[in-house]
Amino acid sequence: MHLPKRGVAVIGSALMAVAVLSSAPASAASHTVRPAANQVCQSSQLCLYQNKDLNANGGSYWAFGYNGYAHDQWIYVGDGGNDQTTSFINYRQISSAVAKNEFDISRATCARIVGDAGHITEFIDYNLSDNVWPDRTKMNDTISAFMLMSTEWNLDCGEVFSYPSG
Amino acid sequence: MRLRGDGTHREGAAPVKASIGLVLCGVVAVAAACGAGHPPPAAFTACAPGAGPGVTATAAGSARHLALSLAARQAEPACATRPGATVRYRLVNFYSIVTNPRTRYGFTEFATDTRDVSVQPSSAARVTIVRAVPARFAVPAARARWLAAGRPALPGTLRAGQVIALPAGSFTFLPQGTLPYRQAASLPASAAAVAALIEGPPGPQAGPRSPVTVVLRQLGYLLAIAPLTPAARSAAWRAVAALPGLRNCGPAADLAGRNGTGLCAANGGHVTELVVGAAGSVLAVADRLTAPDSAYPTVPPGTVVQSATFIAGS
Repeated sequence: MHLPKRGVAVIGSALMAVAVLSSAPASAASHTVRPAANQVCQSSQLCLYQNKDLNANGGSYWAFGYNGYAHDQWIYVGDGGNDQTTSFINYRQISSAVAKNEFDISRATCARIVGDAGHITEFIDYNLSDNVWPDRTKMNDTISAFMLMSTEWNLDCGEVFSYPSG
Repeated sequence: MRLRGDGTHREGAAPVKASIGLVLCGVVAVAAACGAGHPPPAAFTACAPGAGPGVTATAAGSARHLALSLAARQAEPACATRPGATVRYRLVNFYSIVTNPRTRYGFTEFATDTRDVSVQPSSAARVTIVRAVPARFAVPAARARWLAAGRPALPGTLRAGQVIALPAGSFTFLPQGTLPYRQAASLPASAAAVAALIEGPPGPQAGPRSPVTVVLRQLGYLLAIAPLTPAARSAAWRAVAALPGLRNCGPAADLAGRNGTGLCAANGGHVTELVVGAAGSVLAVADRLTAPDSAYPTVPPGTVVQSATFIAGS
């Protein structure tokens, strides 16, 4: 199994529900870190960010709340947000999922984002430029649909790889 | 990517008058373009605006001509960067926060913050929020929807004083791609290479091509903040010139009180605009809706939904 860099939460299948949470990055100013989920996304939301590092260098974002949408269904993100996402947060206890297409979604073109399951705080991918979909096409700026899962059912999505795929 | 009929696609939407309403001063290379009070960036020498006719950004002339003129001028040695210097700039970040788009209660907020950014040659970066204006509803109807939804918790914004530290190798000069410092500083002097960098490597992994609006935005960031060599900067302007549908959208103003010329590209119901200062620096990059978009609920056409403006650091 190839996990994307920086402790990403995108994985391919419910049976491989493993994620690594990135720790605070080392830097000259070690007391400062990237934003936490609760600073830029509300609980029970999936937040999709236009740019890298949760828009550290500017940009817009879209927040999809669990109570706002049908559950366990693929939902188009909307024209303005289509093919825009470069980083995301799944600030939910249950998994969410994202897909490359609005229609014709298969296990080769979707990715599950694990929820925290009550054990860890948040799942963040800071840079989708590093990832490819299970069909080995780039993941950055290609997300068109999302799903807010209501339980940890066995959604059939393939494995996401680091870019370039290994 | 959408694979089936998309009834909302609006290719060829009517041009929109360019008036971004944001003002900023270029970060890289063009201290002369910056208004009083903004010192030249430490990392770059000033790019002397000494070129010949047709170089100065004006409302007249074609976008392609303007971009090619800038490409010619920015190849001058005077535009050289100082290798290995820390890149510093101030970013005024106007952005949209969209909650529950495509639902009956979806609404859009606008927020603005100001960020001081410093980027080390290792591509470690420090982003300090120096000012933050609370988010506001885009229009009264947005607030009405929020009320109707039962006043759900609003998405967060960063606060003044917060610092984001990005570890070495992390910062990228392309907001939606990967371009660390050393790669930016050694970018080839080829417009095709610049375009390829933005699109990513060709081949089966490439996926669909990015919309011209996204490419223009990426190039705007590249030209505004990246530590490019003169040759690479020239190549980036040539890549701008080569964008399909690029047009001169006339005078553009920004919030810092400076004027520029807009270079625009349209895709569907969106227009992306570079605000180019008189001396040729990219002052700001902005995106505007030209048609209703369910991804920005309650936002009327003609509204700027996000912009990044760049001010030289010291």
